[in-house]
Amino acid sequence: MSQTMAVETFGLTKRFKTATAVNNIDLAVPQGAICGFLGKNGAGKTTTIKMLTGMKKPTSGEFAIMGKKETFGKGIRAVGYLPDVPGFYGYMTGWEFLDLCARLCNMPENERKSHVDDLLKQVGLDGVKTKISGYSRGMRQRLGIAQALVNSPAVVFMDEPISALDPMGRRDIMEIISSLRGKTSVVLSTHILSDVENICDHIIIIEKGNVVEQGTLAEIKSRFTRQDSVKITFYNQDDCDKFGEQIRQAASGGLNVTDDAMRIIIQSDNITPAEISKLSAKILSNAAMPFKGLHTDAPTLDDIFYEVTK
Amino acid sequence: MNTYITFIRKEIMETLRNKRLFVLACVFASFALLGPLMGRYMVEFINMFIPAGEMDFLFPEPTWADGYANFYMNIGQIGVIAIILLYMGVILDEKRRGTAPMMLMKGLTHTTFVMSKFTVMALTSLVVMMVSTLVAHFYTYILFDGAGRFGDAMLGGLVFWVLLLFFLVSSIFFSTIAKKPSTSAVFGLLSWFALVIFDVVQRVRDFLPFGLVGRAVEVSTGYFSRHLLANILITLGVSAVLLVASIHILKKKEL
Ligand SMILES: Nc1ncnc2c1ncn2[C@@H]1O[C@H](COP(=O)(O)OP(=O)(O)OP(=O)(O)O)[C@@H](O)[C@H]1O
Ligand SMILES: [Mg+2]
Repeated sequence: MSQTMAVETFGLTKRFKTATAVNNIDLAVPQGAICGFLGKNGAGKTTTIKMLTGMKKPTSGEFAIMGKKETFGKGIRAVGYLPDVPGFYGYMTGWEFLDLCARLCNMPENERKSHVDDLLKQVGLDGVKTKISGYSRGMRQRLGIAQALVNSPAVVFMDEPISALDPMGRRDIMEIISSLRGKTSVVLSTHILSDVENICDHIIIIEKGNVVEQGTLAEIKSRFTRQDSVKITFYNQDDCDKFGEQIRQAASGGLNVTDDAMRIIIQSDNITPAEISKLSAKILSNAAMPFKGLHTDAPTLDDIFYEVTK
Repeated sequence: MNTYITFIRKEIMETLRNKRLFVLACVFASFALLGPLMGRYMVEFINMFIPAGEMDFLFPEPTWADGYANFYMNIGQIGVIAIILLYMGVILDEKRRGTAPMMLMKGLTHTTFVMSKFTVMALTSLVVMMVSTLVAHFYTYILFDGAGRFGDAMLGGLVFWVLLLFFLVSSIFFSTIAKKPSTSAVFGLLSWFALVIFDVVQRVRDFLPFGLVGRAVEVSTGYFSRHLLANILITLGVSAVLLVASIHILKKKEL
């Protein structure tokens, strides 16, 4: 018996009148993971998250949160949720809003005040006395994160938590999310892949309602190492051209060689990067050709994302 | 119970800070002044345009009962419309803003969500109704030198409040089934209009919600019709059904 998953879905499907937004997906997010939920605009991320938070009714399929099957229409207490466009009661202050949330969660009186103060500090809204109607988008996003964490849920879903934030705010929020690692499972959708690469240990990529990749970041990357490329940078264009010619001849077609501005990029489907660099080194030393550098590039999440959602 | 009280606090804060109480109080209070005034001077006003002696028999000398009649007729129209417009988004706004799912995910039930809204709406309208009845009573007294018994006047206001309850609950209902606040308001206004039309039909009038306008006037003058209880119970019954239906429908809706 394996460990209970934080989130698990079984053939989860959502069809609208005109289109299938989520098509028979099986997801598994382990406990404590910070999972990047990726996909192009309209891929079905928001729809999936809304089903998993009990807001939308699946057309078919099932899902479980922390090993417990959940159904539409019943409040799911184990989850926190940050909507893509969070809305609040504009006539309240942030403190009043969080206090309301904490009260609804039946948080005992003696803990409540300090808990709300702590949360506001955590998201950098302490000392803000304005009503929420006067908040900027970034401030709303921060308050949205605070309310999602108010009852210390086991699983938090965040729909584009950093889309409205300035670079500083982005870093703050990424730090908050990172600090949840190990304690809370986080599923966050976003379009900023570099951030995902920094803090997520688990990745799900969906395309047109279908899961096209899922697993740990390391797993997915190793699946794409075939595409590692060897890059050699030269001091002048002549050497660069000469080298390009020789390596093309040497490999007689097995290599995919491209050059751009004093740089040769070599990639192959059947020759490993190690073999490529060995071959290159031989040519370079035989011709005593000076070069600036030779390095192997693993595909970035960007490369993988483009590849699988092509 | 805890969450019920918590959410009632939130609704009271909303009613006060969003100026709903203020707007309702202004509308109702202005008709508490305007109604009796019209009751007192309408005939004289019309007579200014009609040569003396010609149609006197059509307009009997107004009495203090006309003060109440005008007050209740006016708030039965403008007052009710104000309520429909103020509360057209009572459920929809929370859905569209996304606050409804946020609250429900914190452990608030659909039933508590709707019931606490209803409770505060009922209390708000009760306060507004009683205060404006008080104003109407004393203003009628000033204008006519008589306004019946104070207790009867207050009871009349209470009878009319039952009619308001009906429109408050229909606002909740329409705001639950509609997709846009404007649609909700159109439903509300149509049902108001339908009831106004049916009110003309003598045989059903005594049992429909709008029968309560006449009942409220009667009670203010110390007359208790034999239809009064049936009229109140039917209106309350229909309201209860609508309220339960709203909760049920909301539970089934995607947010
Ligand atoms: N209420 C709805 N009625 C009909 N179609 C819908 C509805 N909601 C979403 N869709 C469709 O479902 C698909 C998935 O939408 P969804 O909002 O889940 O995408 P997303 O991955 O969150 O995109 P984005 O990155 O732009 O937020 C889209 O094609 C959208 O048009
Ligand atoms: Mg989305």
